Amino acid sequence: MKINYFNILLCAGLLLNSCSLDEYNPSGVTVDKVAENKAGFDKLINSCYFDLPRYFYGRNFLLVTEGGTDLWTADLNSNNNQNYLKYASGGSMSIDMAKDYWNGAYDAINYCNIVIGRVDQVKDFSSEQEKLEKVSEAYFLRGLYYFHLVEQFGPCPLNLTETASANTAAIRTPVLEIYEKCILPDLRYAAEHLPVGPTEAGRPSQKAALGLLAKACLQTKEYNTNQYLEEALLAAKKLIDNQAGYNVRLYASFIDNFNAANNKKNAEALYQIPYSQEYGSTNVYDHNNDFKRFYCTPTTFGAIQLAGFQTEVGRWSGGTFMPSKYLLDVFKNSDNTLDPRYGVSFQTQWTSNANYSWSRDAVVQFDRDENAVAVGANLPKGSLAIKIARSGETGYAEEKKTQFQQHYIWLDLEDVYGSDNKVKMKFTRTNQQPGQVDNPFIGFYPSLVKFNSGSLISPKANNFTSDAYATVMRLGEVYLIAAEASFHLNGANATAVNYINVLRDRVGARQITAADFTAQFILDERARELCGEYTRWYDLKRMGKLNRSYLMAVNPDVGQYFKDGVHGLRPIPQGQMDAVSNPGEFVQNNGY
Amino acid sequence: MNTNKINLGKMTLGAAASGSKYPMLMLFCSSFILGTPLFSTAASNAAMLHKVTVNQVKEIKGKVTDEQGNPIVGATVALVNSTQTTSSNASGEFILRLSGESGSIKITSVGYAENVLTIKAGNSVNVVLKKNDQALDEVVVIGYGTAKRRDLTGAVASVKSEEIMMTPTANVMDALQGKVSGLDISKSSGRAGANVTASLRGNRSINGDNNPLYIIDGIPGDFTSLNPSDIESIDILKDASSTAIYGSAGSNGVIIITTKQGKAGKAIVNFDSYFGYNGFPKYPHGLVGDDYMKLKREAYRGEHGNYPEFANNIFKNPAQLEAFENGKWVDWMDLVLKDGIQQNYSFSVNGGNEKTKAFLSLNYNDEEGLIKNDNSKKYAVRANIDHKLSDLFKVGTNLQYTYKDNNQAAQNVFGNSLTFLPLGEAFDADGNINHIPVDGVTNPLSDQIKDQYKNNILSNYFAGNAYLDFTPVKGLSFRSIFGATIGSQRTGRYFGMQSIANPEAGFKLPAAVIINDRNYNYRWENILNYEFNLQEDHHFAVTGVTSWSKNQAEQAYAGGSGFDLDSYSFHNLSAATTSVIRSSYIGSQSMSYVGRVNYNYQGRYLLSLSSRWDGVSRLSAGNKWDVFPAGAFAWRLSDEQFFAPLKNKISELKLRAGYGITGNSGGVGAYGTQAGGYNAPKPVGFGESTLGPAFILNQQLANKDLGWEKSYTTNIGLDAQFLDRRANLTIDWYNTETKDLLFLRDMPASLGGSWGAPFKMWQNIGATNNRGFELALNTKNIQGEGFTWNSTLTFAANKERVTSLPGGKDLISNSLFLNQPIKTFFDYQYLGIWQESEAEQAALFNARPGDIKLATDGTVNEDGTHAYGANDKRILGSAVPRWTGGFQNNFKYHNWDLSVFLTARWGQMLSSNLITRYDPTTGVGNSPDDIDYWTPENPGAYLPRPGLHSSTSGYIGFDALKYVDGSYFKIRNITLGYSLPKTLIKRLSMERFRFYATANNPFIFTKSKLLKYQDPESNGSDNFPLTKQFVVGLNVTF
Repeated sequence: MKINYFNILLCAGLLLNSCSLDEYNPSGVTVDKVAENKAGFDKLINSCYFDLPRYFYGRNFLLVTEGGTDLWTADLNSNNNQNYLKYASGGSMSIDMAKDYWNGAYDAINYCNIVIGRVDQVKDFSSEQEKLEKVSEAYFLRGLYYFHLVEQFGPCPLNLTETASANTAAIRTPVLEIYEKCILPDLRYAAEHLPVGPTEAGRPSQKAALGLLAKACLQTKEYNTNQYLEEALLAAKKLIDNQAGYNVRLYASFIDNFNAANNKKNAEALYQIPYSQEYGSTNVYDHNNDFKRFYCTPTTFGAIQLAGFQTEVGRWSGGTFMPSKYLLDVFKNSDNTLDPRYGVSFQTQWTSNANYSWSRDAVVQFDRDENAVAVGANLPKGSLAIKIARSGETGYAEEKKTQFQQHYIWLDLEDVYGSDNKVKMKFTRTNQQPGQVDNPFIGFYPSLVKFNSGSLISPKANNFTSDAYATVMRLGEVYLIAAEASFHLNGANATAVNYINVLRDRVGARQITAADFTAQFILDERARELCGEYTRWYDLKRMGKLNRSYLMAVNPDVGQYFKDGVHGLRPIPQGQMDAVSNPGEFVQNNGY
Repeated sequence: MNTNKINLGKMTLGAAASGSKYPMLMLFCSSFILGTPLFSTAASNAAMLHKVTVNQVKEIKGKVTDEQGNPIVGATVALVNSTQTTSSNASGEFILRLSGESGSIKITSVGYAENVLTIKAGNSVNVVLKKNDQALDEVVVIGYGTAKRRDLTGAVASVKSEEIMMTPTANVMDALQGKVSGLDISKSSGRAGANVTASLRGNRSINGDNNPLYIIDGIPGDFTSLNPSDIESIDILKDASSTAIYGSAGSNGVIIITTKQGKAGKAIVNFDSYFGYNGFPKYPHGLVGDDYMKLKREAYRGEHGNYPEFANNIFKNPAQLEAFENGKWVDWMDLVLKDGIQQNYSFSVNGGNEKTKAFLSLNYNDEEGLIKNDNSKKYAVRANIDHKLSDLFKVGTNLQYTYKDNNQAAQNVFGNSLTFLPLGEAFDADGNINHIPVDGVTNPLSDQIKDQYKNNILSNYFAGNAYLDFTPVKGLSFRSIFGATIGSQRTGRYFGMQSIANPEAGFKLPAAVIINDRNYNYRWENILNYEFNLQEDHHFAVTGVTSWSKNQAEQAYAGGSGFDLDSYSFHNLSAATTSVIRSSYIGSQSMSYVGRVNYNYQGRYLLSLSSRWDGVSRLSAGNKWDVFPAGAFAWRLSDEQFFAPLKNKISELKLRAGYGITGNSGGVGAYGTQAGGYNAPKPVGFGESTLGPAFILNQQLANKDLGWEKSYTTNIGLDAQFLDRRANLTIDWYNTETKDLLFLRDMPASLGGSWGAPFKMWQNIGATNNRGFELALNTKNIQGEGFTWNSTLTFAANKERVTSLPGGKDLISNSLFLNQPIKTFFDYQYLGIWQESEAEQAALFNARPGDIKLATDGTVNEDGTHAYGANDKRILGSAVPRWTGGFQNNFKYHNWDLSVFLTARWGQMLSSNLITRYDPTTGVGNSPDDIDYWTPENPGAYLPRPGLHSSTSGYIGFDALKYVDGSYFKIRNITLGYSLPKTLIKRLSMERFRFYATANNPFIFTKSKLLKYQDPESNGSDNFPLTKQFVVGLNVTF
């Protein structure tokens, strides 16, 4: 204290008005200050969205929601993205493979907790209703984030209040408890208090909350309870039965969901995450990248030139996901006809964009019959360059006969996929230099076109991204949820069948009966309707199919690496494991 | 004029010596009683002269010269057994007044041996001073004062101007590399104007600062702004007993830089310049032609088991295939690298009279880097002036202004040139750079396209201090010094659509930003020194200091994107279609009190005690103040009677021991104890045009209990001089325990965070230990008439360990391990490559011949297999060298001088990003040309077989390749100089005319063969390689 006395003396001598050791921080703002009024509180609400486009839908989220399932293998059946698509190909998974989702979700959840905990501090809401609508956004998002946390990681720390102190002990709350204490109540609250809509793009309305509530209730089936199936059915029915009331409708045509024109303000979508060319928390170089995920490599054939390619939506060359044999087979009806959704969901034909003349190499590589396709044979620009055919399509048998006599590449799905449900890595040439060689056709496979919407941004040379909105859920899935909930509750029944038939009717597929209805049928139908739409990994978990024996049967390229009891959950990131002060209590998931 | 002071002083000191406990008080009282105003003017002093000089006084005249007969200016001439002193004038002459018939005088001057003579009244004397090469009388700058080396109790190393000038560089610390034992200096980048990193006696702090404190002319400052030729000396305070006087800032050592001060006498004009050529980096090129094709064909073979049949198996992109078929190979590195040039001109004037002395200097330094767009220009002015107002008062000022103009090229140019497809047309028909040389490849030179890229930093730095010295009586001095450093910096960046640099975060191209930084730091210090003797043998020096400082930093940031013309560069932000602006302020204050007592008994037993009380604003209330005490003891054995028989063998021997507590102030910025956040720089988007401003929480959680990180250091040292005073040896052993680390602790991500990253919190947690040994040996090997050879050897070994961590366990995600150094490498361990004969065994590890064989934790599954996983990772080594050393040799033969300087760093590991630039995939990316990869025909290679894995990121153990032993020694510098003969230059009225040629970095010897194409000093960086320099220079003195 003597020192302070000195201090004062010294300062007096200096004639300086302050020798104080207090901190002056004019550019800093505290949460207390921001939460004082509506304008500031709005910022806190917006912060709850910050991580959603940053880490989830539209980003790499497909890797953890579609990868490693029965539907896909890696592009060219390689080991690319092997942690996600092939369970590390038999090696060890990267412990941080799902870090972004863990860190991102909890980051956002803290903002949700701030909003929920402080809503009563705001004095200038114009009405009680405005207040409830605002806070409901945070409830909705918290439910959504926790839903992904528990499905990806299993039991997780459950934090429902703002982080105010450094509590480094963490406890893994059982999944069902998180559903019961947070996900379901939050979504119920949001479904009750959110506005009916329409809202600003990216803000949820009641349809979003109801849809997600139905999905979450159904997902609890995974945890051996039927307790919430009624609620799933009820929430789904609400939406299905009062579509106009909730501002949602089924498009008359299935493919309209994925048209560029419908990408923004999508009528069937329950909730979409916007990407804009100017705003958002992601770097502008790296917005929605889903359109890069599913494309094969048509440039393997010289008639498809890359020049100008990448600037056209849907003409990306080389993706991440290659369909599995199972996914392509699921579109085949028992009568060998094809479900119409195959034709519209996948691109199977390409036209040449250059005048092409067959080179010596290409003649050999694609095993042309030299009597029909000589070196120098021409394929004019604009003509058919690649066609992927399969039995069940018209003209298939006829065309197959002249497969190697065409100036364009005609290939049979059987050239790429074997009867063992595996991708064919080798091909046996017969016309040219006969013998077994690397499969030249592996770069051509049906390419999912659901994400070829939105405009491409090229903010930098050789760098492309898209401002397409990412659809979190659409009404089509709600019909499938209703059918599944009903099936779990009452077995194959007419109500369940009807929900399915609405979707099948829309695409002109054969109507089904209760006799067709099995658990596997639901999985198959979901694949036909929803493949690539951020849901398959969860579907397999819920239906008890995320296991080695199922995956080995339908998609052995992936299934061979699946370890039961390990790969059904993601590893908790190393940073979390290191930071907790109770490592004995807070344990890593099994096998990591 | 002096008499008044002498008498006054004599009386008071007499009083003090007679046992008063309060000598200071007595001084003031006596002056009051005598009616002598303490602050008397020169006029009144002169008037008093007659009254006091009652005795008969005889004048003695004399002249002080050196051995060559040149006058010595400013030598101190003291009458023994009196307080009368004077100093020699510009012609070396002095006058003393003798009150008796005879007496003796003591003549001292810095750099010369003292001389004591008996004089007789009426005689004039000629005093010849011999050059003093006894390091012991050298004056060493210590905290808030100076001391003779013989009186030091702590570990202090000094480097003089001549040694600094030996290395022609714009960065003074660069010149110190290897010259001070325990000071580990390395440069990691060859960028123009790149800085060095310096750490003293290892690293103590994990998240806090490990940089030493730099004090320039008494005030903390920026050493990179200094002109090395302005520096008189650099003193490095190493142990806590020396640095604790800097309290909370002292734990990383203190480097005190003293600039040249004016000297009375004939004006001395100095001109130093050099011109150099930078180039010949040890750095690989990318593969071209057949070498490239061989790698790609092998990669295909590795993946498919057979060589590719067709070129389009490799080149999937038709345009690239065409470029290959037309043989359009490009060596990007060849096109990117150019030779750099460095030039430096320094001009200084030093002169003055008894009252006013000044040192003025101008400096221009220009460095052209290895690539276009990378250069740095520095202009510096210095004025050091001091003026004697009276015998009591002196004022002075040290002023420095530096202006830098720095263009920085993007560092990705190097990586791009190594890894981009080496095919295409780099230039169009008119010689302009082709942005897209071939489809799918961007030209690594793209930033050099007109108006496409700019990153220019203009900085102004002013450091000035003004002081007032008050010396009322002998032994007592008071200095009040006010210093300010004011810096302003403008950073302007522009990224055109064709720029390849990583653009400013958050912007769409074309983008421009302009950042204005301004920081102003003030410091006011008052220093009171009082030296006195009690009964001859007891010498005391008491120091008291108060220090107050205030630091403020402001920033204004403005940026925009969507410009219609590249020619705007960053000068027309209003043309942007979208813009971002923000500003910030950071301020902090601190207040300190220091006390120190140095005591010695007959110069034989030396004791030093000090304490500093520090208070800073950025710690929590209640923890803002803390105390940092220290003490040291030294014993000059060679002065003891019993040592006399040894004296002709060992002329000097001193033992030192010290202990002290120092703090670390770095790391924790202002406001670390406050919670809060800021507006997101870019709003969240709710649709194309609806923006949602968001609030981002600070990543740091507030800690209301944050206090200081403290180091507790013991130092034991020995100084010896032997071999007929031709060898000086200093040895130190130290142990530093650093506790309550300022640790930026990661919180569990489940608590939330900021930008998707978990919260962190500054906590006082964890501990480290540094223990080491240092040796410095100066020898005069040959002292012939025309030929001399001197050497300096420095050696330091340090063991750095983390001794405690949060939670008491290793923190793998932070790479922190108990009992390991702070910078530890933890990864898979490379054991070699699986050979074909080992195929069966390799399969158990999910590997094939040609794959990397890794060490495992030894576990095996039931089926005998083992999947490499996180548990197999282990501690591989550390970036901290086991020892460092320097060996300097200076030869002189008549007018020729030659110096050869070696440095070594041994035992550290480095993580070489250049090694993992090897691309083993079937993609078209390129690899460095020094690679040696495994194929069935080349089984002895270090790198794995290409084609086995589709990406390096998913390739378990690929990174294990890059950890190599980084031990090296290098000939840092060879200089050959020639000075024109004195007789010749005298005629040109010059004092000195010397030219020299220097080779910097000419030879590098690495322990690991894998570093053949790398300079290990850059620590494996794949950017801006270090260069060799060939410099010619000139030193002229008038």
